[in-house]
Amino acid sequence: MSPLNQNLVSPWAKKSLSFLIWMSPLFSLGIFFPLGVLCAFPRTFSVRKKALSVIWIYLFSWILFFPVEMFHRSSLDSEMFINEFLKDETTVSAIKGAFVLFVGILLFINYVHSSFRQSARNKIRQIKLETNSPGARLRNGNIIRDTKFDTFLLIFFLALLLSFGFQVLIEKINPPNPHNPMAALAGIYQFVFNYFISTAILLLTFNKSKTPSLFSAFLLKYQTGIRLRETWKQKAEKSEKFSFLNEMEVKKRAVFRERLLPGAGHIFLEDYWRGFPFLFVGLLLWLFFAVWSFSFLSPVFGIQFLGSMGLKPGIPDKDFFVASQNVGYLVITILALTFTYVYSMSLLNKSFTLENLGYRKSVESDIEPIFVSGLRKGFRNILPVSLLFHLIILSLVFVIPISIQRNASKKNNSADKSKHFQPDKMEFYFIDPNIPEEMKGLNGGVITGTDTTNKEQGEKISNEKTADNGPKAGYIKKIRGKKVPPTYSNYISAKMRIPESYMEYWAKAPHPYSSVVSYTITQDGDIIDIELVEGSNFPDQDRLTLELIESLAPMIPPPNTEGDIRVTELFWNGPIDPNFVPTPLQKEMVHMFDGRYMEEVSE
Amino acid sequence: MSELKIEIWDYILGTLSVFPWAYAIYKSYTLPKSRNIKIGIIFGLLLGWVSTVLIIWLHPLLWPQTDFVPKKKVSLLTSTAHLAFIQAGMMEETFKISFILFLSFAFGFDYETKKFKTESVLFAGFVALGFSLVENTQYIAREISDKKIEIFLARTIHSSNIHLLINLCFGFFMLKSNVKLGKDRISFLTLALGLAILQHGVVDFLLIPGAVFGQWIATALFVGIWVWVVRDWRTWITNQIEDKKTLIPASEYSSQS
Repeated sequence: MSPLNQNLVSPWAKKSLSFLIWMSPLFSLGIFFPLGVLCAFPRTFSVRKKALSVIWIYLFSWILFFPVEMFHRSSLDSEMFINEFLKDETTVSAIKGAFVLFVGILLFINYVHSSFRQSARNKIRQIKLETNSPGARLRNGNIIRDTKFDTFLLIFFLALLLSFGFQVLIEKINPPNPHNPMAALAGIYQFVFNYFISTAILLLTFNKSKTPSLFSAFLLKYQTGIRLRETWKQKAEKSEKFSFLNEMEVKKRAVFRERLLPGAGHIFLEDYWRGFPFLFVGLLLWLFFAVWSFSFLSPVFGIQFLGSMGLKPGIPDKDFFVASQNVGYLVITILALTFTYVYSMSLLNKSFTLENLGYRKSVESDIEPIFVSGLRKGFRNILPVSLLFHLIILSLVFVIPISIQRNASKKNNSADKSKHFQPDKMEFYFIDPNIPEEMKGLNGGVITGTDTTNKEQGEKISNEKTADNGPKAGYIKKIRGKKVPPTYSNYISAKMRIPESYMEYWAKAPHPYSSVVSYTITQDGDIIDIELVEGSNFPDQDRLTLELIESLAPMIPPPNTEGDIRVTELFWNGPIDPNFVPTPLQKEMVHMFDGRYMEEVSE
Repeated sequence: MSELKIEIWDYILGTLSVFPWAYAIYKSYTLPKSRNIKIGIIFGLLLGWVSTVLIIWLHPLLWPQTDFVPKKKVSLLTSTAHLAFIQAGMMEETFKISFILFLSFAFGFDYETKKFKTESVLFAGFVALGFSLVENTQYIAREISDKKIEIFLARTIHSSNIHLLINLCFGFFMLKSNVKLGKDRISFLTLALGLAILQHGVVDFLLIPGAVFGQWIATALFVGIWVWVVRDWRTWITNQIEDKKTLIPASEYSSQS
């Protein structure tokens, strides 16, 4: 037995690892734990095939659902279209049923495939047996489970039960949010994912050491590559020679990985200090490529895409909107991505030159050592790390977490204020796609909060009658100033939607909840002086409210004002009814547009 | 601030949150476990406990609790960085690693050859688990009853594990320092402490703002540290059994450092 086939992992460790692999989606370890298993246990095939199946399920689900999710986020029309389509329970059941049928067909093909292979194997055995011992009968005690029809049925139906169990567990740990506009789509995704995982668990558990027939050829080919690499590594450590043809086999596999993602080939050769920087540079550039492409189609789409990952543009909205229409950024990203692929591939190829492998005398002294850990000296070794470092810095400028505010701008730059780009039409900048269609322009009210019983109270508020929009100037915090047109208020409401949705602000809010928060929007679009004017009895939710406000920055500067804007805002999740809120201030604010009062603060 | 009331169920859940990992590293340590090692493990758990108690005691002195009043111009970025790198990373790791070194010098150091013994890694792991046990119990006790299971799962999978992995990583650095001498060795171990603070800080920093993207990177880092520890474990512990049959120890020609 080859030492590479030796069982180095104890049975209990294998069982524990298998459990953690199957549970990694539930334990929020996602695709990363299975990937870690592939790196940490190169020789333990029984564990690796489980890790691979979870990775495949993730990839398959993403390929299937990511385009639909992007379509959902692309515009209000598409969101409404999908949600309307999935409103009907029978449609949802039909989609889920189609997936179950698809898995059932796959399982059946696997059963048929396995049966054919088994009978072919039996024929060969029978011929050999008749040649060697004529008249003897073939013993076939260990029938592969895949070949049994009852195993196929058992897996098919038991998987439904198991996925139901997963569903219950997930809902217990992380209750679904009915206010999430993605709820219907997420429900289907969750079902499909759970059913796939359940099927994989049962299929690989019932088959024990055998791989599912349908995938065995691929899995064995994959593991052969890993085994070749491990053998080469062992030989390299002992300074022994490795067959040239096998080296070329390893190269073929490394190049294949490199084509998929830059750096993956280097990681395959365990050159981590080169591979991981290239991989992260590549992934970051793919992210930038997606952001610029989506933003070029529609800036709202770009922001929504970032919002789906809990990110937002690190530059003010107005700059982002202008930059997103500049195709130059997209071109630069594509060029950078191409350079990363080409350079990473050329470095990988250097490891497999005849000179480097010792088959031809090297004229230069730039030999690439194989299977040497650690960061090596030299330009080509430092460059990937340096590229990654600089790209991370650049990324932090353009993309930041949704809950983080950047205080980049400084006060008293009134000279710059005059240079501020003030849009002719504010509508262009209202980023929320959820504004109802029947509203002309964006001067109408958008109701925030949930469980609003009387939606009519969120009707249009006229631009002319600004005085109707709140208490008399200077009532709150005794700051006097002129009123701000409600359109800017609309913008704040719209901007607030993304973090509200991402932070599940209203889903987490206790019932009833009400608090008043005050904050200042500067002429640079920063949010400062956040203050809890009236807290609730729920400090956690109050803290979330403050984080929600902080996450709004950077904003478009308040239009047509010379000073900063002080906003006082009521957050509540009940009806527009003064009796619902406890304090006099809240009773008054409940009738204001979006519970928000704004005034200009003189400097 | 009112005294935190910890019930028996909180202690049970806290213990359960570290038990799987304690069992895993104890069972994975395939080298013979002498009486000294077993005593060291128990002391490790106790010292982990002591380090949490010390931090809880020191915390209000270093960062006095104030009322929940919003601050002016407070940036979440700054507060997150402070919380992740200073309050959590530096404080916790410094205390834990001080106790790990203390315990290793008491039970896991060969004063003749001036080398750390392999069991130092085990002590490092158990100090981390002792620390997690108390920390998890506190977090579980603070949570409302509906969310206790949710926090228990999160603490079991992520928090206990990351404490354990960071300290195991430091434990391996102690073994790797055996080939260094004098000042080199001290700076090597100081750098290892710095790495532990950095590991703790970066993972916490990415997790605290709650962005999915940050969670992906934090989980990737977490798994990365796990892979590092698994490979080091194989080199420094599992292969020691094989080394007995060979002349050259595996650790001499293969290292992740």
